Amino acid sequence: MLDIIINPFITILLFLYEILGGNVVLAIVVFTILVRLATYPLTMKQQRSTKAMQEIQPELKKIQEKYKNDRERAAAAQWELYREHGVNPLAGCLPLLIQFPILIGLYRAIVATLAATPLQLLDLSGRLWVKDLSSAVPMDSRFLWLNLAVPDPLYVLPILVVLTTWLQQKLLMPASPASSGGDKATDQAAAMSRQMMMIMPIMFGIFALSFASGLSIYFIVSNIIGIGQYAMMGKIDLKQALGLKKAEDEAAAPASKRAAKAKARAEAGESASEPSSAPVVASEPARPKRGRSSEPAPAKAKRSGVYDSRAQRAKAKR
Amino acid sequence: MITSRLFTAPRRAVIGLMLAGSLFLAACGGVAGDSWAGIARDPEGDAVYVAYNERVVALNPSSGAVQWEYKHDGAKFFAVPAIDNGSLYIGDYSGRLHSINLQDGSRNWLYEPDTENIIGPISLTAGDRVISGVAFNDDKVFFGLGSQNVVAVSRATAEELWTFETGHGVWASPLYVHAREGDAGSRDTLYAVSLDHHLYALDPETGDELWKRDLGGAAPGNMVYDEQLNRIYIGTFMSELVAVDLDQRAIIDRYETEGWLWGSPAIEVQEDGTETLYFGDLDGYLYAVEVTENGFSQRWKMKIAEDAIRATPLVTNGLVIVGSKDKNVYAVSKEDGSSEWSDQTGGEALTELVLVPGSEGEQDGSIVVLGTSESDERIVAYNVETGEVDWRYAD
Repeated sequence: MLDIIINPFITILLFLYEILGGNVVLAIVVFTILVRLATYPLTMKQQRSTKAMQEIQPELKKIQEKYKNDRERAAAAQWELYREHGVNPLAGCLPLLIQFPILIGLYRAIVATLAATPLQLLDLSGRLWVKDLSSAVPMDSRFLWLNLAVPDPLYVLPILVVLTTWLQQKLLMPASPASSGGDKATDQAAAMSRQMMMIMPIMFGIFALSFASGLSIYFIVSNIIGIGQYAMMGKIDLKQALGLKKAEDEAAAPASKRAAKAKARAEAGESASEPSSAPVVASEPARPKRGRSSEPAPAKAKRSGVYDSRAQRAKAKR
Repeated sequence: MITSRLFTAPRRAVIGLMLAGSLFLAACGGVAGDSWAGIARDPEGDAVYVAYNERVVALNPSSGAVQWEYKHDGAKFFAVPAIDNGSLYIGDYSGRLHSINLQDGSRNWLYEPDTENIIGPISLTAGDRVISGVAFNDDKVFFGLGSQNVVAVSRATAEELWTFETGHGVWASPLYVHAREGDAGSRDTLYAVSLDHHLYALDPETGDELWKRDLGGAAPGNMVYDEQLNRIYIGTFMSELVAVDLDQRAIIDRYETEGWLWGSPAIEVQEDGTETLYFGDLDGYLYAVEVTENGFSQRWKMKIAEDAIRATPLVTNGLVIVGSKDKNVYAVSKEDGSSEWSDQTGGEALTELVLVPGSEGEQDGSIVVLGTSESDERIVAYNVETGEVDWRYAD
């Protein structure tokens, strides 16, 4: 079934290889960039959702502390918080599911065209949509000191794979602040996030050590593009990612800002009957206004992703 | 409410792990090894030799019983063994060449390529693979490397004598052609084809290039030498069977096929001297092509399999027998390609086919031995006439 994706990918990759002077690394880089560009809207949705979830983590934590003995009320308050901030917890998953077969297709296309083994070369037969591209099979796998069909003997690429994977993980999943109130669930989540940040780079590093180094090129380029896409969202913080800034301070900052805003609104008599530094989820949430209406407009959910984006953007600008 | 808890940090971690794991499985799933088994038979002995993954075994051709087994630490074997003068030569997936005593499976010698380690195990040289078979002359063994080289080593000492660099991997066995008697201009020549699209003619003593020709496409499969016409036939991934005249050092004809060609043709010479080539392509077509002074003339062409026919067909007893990736073995009439018998195999039948003549001569009681991708049926022996399974070997 994946042939629908793999076969055109193989054809495009070989076409790029032909027009880029038979440079396999350049072909892989350009191909990875093209695929990542094509999936850019999905990636952005996923990353926005992830970031929005990160931003409300302190407030979620406070809800869990406040209603630690009442799960139903905690869940209701969480849901209200999501609604208020225009966050859909499912939004991070759907784009990922759509991208998944594309990523596998990309991966398989690179493995197939490098054709490191007889079975891989045999598998290429009948996959080309343009018969003339048969002359490009198999791609020349030599580049600098590398034979891209086998692992890197100098371990340079596996190290780069580990570093870029770690950095991307670190940026996308900053360390959660440790629970001060003994919230086991939050502590566990933070611990698992930290483990994840260790496991993923190591796992991809092992892949890079074991498989064709052409795949390492793909992993590295893909990670760099992922980091670049995250940076384009404008809030990349290398200091925090590299542990030069305390995660807790950083996490507390947006919550304090929101609390201050809520206080200001309360003073102006807009809403928030209970001005405090705590998130406003326990009371009536302050809903963003739409257009010129003075009535609070209900947030309208889209199919996925961050909803009520206009109000969110206005809020972000302020 | 439940959904809100589904995508917390630990869940994302699990999802990430699953994705990475799936990626890994998607790339590697469904493939038992990197290649298919290599099979050969000693025409003067009484064994069939099989190389697959970690071992080389000698099998009794009548029963499939193991006579001896050869293993070496870390070695993986997928190349076709070559047999000559009481020794078996086979390369492994670490770029080494093993010489094995045919009598008991003990090792005569091991050739290991030089590696320049700069710090500990860190080497400037990437690991290499021997996918090709080997060729010989009296004092040298020649083989190709998966990266790009053709290598010559001493038959007596395993010392490396020379290497020749091509532009890509050399997966096909080199071909050693002796000087033609009565032709003063002729000389012993080693021929090698590479995935870089070229046929190279080399001086077997020094490894120097004598001449080369661009075939137009990659040639992963073996060449076949036509002694009568002094030609080489090579199949390519441009879906062509190419005829190279060695006297003229020129391509004299190309026969276009439906799919890519991997296996070399089987040559059958009639009593009147007429030559016919039988070969299959990776789209499942089988061809019978007559060789003429000027090139090729098609006799028949038949789509017999649903998937690739990779190996060289076996021509015997009026039949052309081939295995296919579609998990079948087919025997067709050599006259018109009509079906004589077929049988379903346990796995993909991509290996070379080996004929073991019956005790009363080739036409009676002969068996054809082939390999499959299924470990329970790694090797199967069929009765040539009836198509019934004679024995199976599981590894």
